[in-house]
Amino acid sequence: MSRVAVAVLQFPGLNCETETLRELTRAGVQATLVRWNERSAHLARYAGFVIPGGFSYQDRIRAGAIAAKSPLLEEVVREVEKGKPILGICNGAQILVEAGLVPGEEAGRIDLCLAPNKVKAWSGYHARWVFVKPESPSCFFTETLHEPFPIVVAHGEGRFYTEDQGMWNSLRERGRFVLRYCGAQGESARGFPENPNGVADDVAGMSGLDGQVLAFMPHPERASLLWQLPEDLPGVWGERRRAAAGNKEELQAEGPGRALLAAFRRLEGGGT
Amino acid sequence: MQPLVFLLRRRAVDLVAVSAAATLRDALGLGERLRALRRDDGYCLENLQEGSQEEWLRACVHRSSWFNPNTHRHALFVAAPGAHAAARQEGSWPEPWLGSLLGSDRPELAEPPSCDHLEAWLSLPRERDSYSVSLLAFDGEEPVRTLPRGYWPDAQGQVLAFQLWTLLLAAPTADAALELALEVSLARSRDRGLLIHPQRERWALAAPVAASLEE
Repeated sequence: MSRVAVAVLQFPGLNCETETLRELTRAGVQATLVRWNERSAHLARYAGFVIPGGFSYQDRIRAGAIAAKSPLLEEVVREVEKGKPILGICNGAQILVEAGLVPGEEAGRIDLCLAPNKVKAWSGYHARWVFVKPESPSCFFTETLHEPFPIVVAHGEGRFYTEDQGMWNSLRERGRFVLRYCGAQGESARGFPENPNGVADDVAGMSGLDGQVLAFMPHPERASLLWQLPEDLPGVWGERRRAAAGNKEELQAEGPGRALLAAFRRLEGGGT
Repeated sequence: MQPLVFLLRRRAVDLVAVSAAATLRDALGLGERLRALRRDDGYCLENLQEGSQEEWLRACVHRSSWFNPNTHRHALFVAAPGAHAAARQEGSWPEPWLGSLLGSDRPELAEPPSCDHLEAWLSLPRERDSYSVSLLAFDGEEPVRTLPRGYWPDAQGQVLAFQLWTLLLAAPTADAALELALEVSLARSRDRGLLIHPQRERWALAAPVAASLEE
């Protein structure tokens, strides 16, 4: 077990904190749950942070809007601005965007939103297996990722969007779109369902600040073990899953989402 | 046919508005300057090709999926034209916007104490040195949509769906109240603005800022 301490931040209404905590632990990280109403002065002891998925504050006003204004997040921002990494998963990603940490072009300024899904075939909440591919090594969490991998999305507001097309182009050119939806072999997504929400440039994950922030709409904690994958998945991961079918030991092997969570282990020695 | 505006108010306590007010007061520093916060839903119908006003009232109340008598109260008003164009940023918001009342399940609106229909609909508490600011928020990408089928046989028209946020603010002047309302409403940074996200929503002032006089 690594000595790297990571805080899993819980706001009321988040509902993925238990499995995120469990899969971080399985990934070799010392993960601790920190609730929104705890005295937050102790956050300096953590080397990194994760905001899991769910519906913080019941998505009142907008997804992530209220959590982004909370005193706990204010303290987290201070730690992240020192260079500590933070991963926002689904609602966590929405919170990071509402807090201005992604893209984080100017301290605290909100330049983006995660808009409602917009595809011809579907509207509203949508959950399915998709494939994503790492596009840029400029983010702490994607530095060591190279191959496309399957993962779960489950959201109604997951479309990174800005009115400012110039800013969007600039983010693309600077490699901020670090994870993109794609086909099973890594080819460009051909619309829905490969791109599950209609986002421009197939963006699934966007980095912020100096690359230590990742807002990621899919759920790595739901693809952290091989048995979590469906047997009918195409590609290499599907083959591995089918080969392990019926073998309890092999099904406990690492799944494709584990690498994102295990990224925190690289802080060992250099962390707090 | 003249445009129509269908306004809806929740019967129960609006938990979104309660949470928003708490966040504005505590996290964004508005404190007691925020005397009240209301959130209503609404639909502005324009370019209606078929039906009388009475038929549209029946369609909105009985046929649409907008209104549920168990959860909401309603009112249908005649409106001045131009809201759809303004929502597309092709003109300014019509003033005055709301005209005569066509129907409501709020009996007090039939003989309102004020001749201002929006003020009557809002029925805000009256407090000294306070001003009400009503902001309409609507989808920024596609604010005006074709009226969904099924509301009225062969009806053609367009609809602008919106949220109506009304802030009752303690302020020295109407201009100061407006400035404060926009400061705390438009989400521009982590510590500034909450109710309306300018990257995904557009907004308009529903009516001039009004003084709320203690009776």
